[in-house]
Amino acid sequence: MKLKVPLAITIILVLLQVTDYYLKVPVINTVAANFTVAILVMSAIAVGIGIISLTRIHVRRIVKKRPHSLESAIMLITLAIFILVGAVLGSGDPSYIYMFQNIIVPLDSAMFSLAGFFMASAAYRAFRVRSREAMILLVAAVIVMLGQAPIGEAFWSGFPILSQWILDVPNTGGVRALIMGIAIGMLSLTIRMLMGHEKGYLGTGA
Amino acid sequence: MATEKDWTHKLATIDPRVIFLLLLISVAAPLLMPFGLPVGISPPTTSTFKFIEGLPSGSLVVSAFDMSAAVAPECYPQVAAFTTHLKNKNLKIIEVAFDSAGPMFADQALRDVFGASKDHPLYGKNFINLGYIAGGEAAMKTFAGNPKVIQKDFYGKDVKDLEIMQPLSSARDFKLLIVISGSQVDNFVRQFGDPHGVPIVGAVTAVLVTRVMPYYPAKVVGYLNGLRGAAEYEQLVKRPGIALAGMDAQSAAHLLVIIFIIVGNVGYIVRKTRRPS
Repeated sequence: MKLKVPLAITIILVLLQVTDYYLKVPVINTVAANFTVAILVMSAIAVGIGIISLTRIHVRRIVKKRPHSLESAIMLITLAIFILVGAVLGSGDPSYIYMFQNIIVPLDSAMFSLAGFFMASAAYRAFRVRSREAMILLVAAVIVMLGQAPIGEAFWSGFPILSQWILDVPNTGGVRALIMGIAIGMLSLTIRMLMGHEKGYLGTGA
Repeated sequence: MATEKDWTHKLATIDPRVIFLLLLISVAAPLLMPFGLPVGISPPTTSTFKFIEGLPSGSLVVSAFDMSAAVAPECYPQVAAFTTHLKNKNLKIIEVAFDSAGPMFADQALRDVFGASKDHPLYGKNFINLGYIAGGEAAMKTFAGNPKVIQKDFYGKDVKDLEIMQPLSSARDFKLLIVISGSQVDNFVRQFGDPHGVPIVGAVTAVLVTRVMPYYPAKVVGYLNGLRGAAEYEQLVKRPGIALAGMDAQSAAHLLVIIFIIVGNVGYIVRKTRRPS
């Protein structure tokens, strides 16, 4: 029973959403739309649960005086300030937007831009002509890098054309295959769920 | 045979801190002293521009902000450039976010392009910021099916009485959807493009662009490729900005990385050929 009821619910909901996507049946479309709204409500609740969970983890770390308690305290204070300003004044308030633009944006952008430094270092270390395949990869990478920046065009007008060909033909072919593979995988997963063969999400280990 | 102090060994094992420092200089120097390399316009950017040019005045265009703050340096210049174009063409703009950071950038775009957001006299008539809808693809599906599912905008105003929302019944009323994303456009194609026939434009990071290309031009009518795409669009709308300024920095950084790759390989190949078989 513990297994059959969740399985039945899943099968019904999968059928509902699949039918809703392909057919125009007002009753089915309305019911499916209502279930989708329920997902939005659950997503909003999940954000709240996430905040509670995060707070518990960091409060416990501070209380037990574990390493990095200072960072936890900073995180909690920041979280409290953002929630307070957002709840009292609204997230559309200029003060909230000011905090976002001047705290989160620079920090997040800086974190992301650090990847550029590591990529430069990794490219220097990893792009070695160890085999014929590595050579092809290296040449393609250099052409795309030159083609994507104006300096490539300044060197030779053919770089952007060659770069675009690499992106349009071999690259797009590969990505298209990847997307199709994912789609077929999702389709087979849906069929397995509909047939009741997919039970991993129920925590049965099957 | 190569020794530890051999020049080839030095070439093949440059300290990462040297690379970091030179990369920093190569990015910062052109921003301070730009050398103004010409930037060509790529076909996907031209397609985007032409598609917007062809829209009749007053058409509804949705800007979907699926971007986090991390990708703002690449994506926001794109937003500023195409929002300027939408304004110049007198198109109606509905801004909606599927990432929690999105509404703040939507607000910034309105302030940068129109001079004000919620306090602007045209707010609610020509443009609106609907804020963030949680739920990822489920949120997209709901919004596409019924855009009026959102009852309050980002600033807490009731949206049902606002003029711009009146003609809306489903995504079929949108003449264009511009997706600003640091992750993917596939879900927008699934929820807006295929079921409702909404033309889509991708304003995406350079890393993501390979995920957009398979959909172009059949399902995505055009796309902006990272900062380069933004720089190209800034030229098309005659509004030079931070993206064009950043192109010299990008050129210098790419060139530096290529030089390091060549240097590393010279060291590696010479050492390999010297090594006894």
